[in-house]
Amino acid sequence: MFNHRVIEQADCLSKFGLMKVVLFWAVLVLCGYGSMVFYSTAPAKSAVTVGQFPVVSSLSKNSGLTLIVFLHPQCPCSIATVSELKGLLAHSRLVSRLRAYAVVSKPTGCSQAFVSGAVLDSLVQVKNVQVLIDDDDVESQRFGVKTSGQTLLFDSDGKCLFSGGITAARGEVGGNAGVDALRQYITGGRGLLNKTPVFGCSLESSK
Amino acid sequence: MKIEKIFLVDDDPNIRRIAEISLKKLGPWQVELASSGRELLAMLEKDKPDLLILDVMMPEMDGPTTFQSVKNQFPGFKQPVIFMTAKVMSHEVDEYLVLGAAGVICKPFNPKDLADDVRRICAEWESRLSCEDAAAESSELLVGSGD
Repeated sequence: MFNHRVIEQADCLSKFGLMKVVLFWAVLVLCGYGSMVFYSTAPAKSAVTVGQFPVVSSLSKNSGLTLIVFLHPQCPCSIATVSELKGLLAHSRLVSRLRAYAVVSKPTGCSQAFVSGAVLDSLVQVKNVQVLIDDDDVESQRFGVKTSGQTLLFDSDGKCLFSGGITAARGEVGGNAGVDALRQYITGGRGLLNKTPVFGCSLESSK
Repeated sequence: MKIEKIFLVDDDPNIRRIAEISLKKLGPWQVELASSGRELLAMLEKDKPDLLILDVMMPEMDGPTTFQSVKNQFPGFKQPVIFMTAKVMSHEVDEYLVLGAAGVICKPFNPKDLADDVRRICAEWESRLSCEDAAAESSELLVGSGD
């Protein structure tokens, strides 16, 4: 009798313990998932937008539009930005009056190996873009850019028309407001947006 | 012509890197790099490429001087040579072609187009060579028949 009650109590306790463990695990999973969602949809620092194309730059302003995308070569989110850029620049009809640059960050002290990898490999397969490796991040500083994925569009007078990201979240490929706005500007229309959030790694943290 | 191996000379390490990735990925070709004309001459002592790509503006020994040195030191080297330069005014391009270059690639280049540009220049160079060969043969025949 006594043994039976002890066994029942122990059984109850172990069931209660198991429930607590399962609950704790569920809370952990939810927290993890929540922080992942928060991280992937939380924009990073946007550029301190330069209103005008810098007077001193190794990039040259086009007589039409000039599009510049800044990328961290080791940031996994950069691949999504390159993919969006590829889609945007794929149609020569769209890019006839556009000059596009992809500027790959190379902070002071980093070797050539730092810039090599999937991002540069995918960039060389994008049509109609000139790729520049930005030694000491000189160009990103000139343009006030702080985050990988930051995209700037300038008109022929050097006025900044658009500043923002071209992905909907970190590493997410698919329809997004940035690409839509750029397409509107490039096709000669007036973009509905001149700013979108940027999802990418900090260019400053790589220093 | 079949390209398997390319020697590329440029003093800018970033341009070397981008061009190397582009040619390797989109050729796909084997690419060996040199940062100066002198380094290229040392490389040519050991191995010969199917194509040479030379930057024009380089310290110490520029592209045309390097090309001349290659012709002097390796008279048997008859592979095409392409210049890469931002100086692409028509008279400048003519100068490179007179030197014997197969063609010119304009800097800054789009990496995606680099391999296609190389193919196009090599095809043009090959057809130019075969035209010259045919012209030489026919003039030899004319001289022979005149005798």
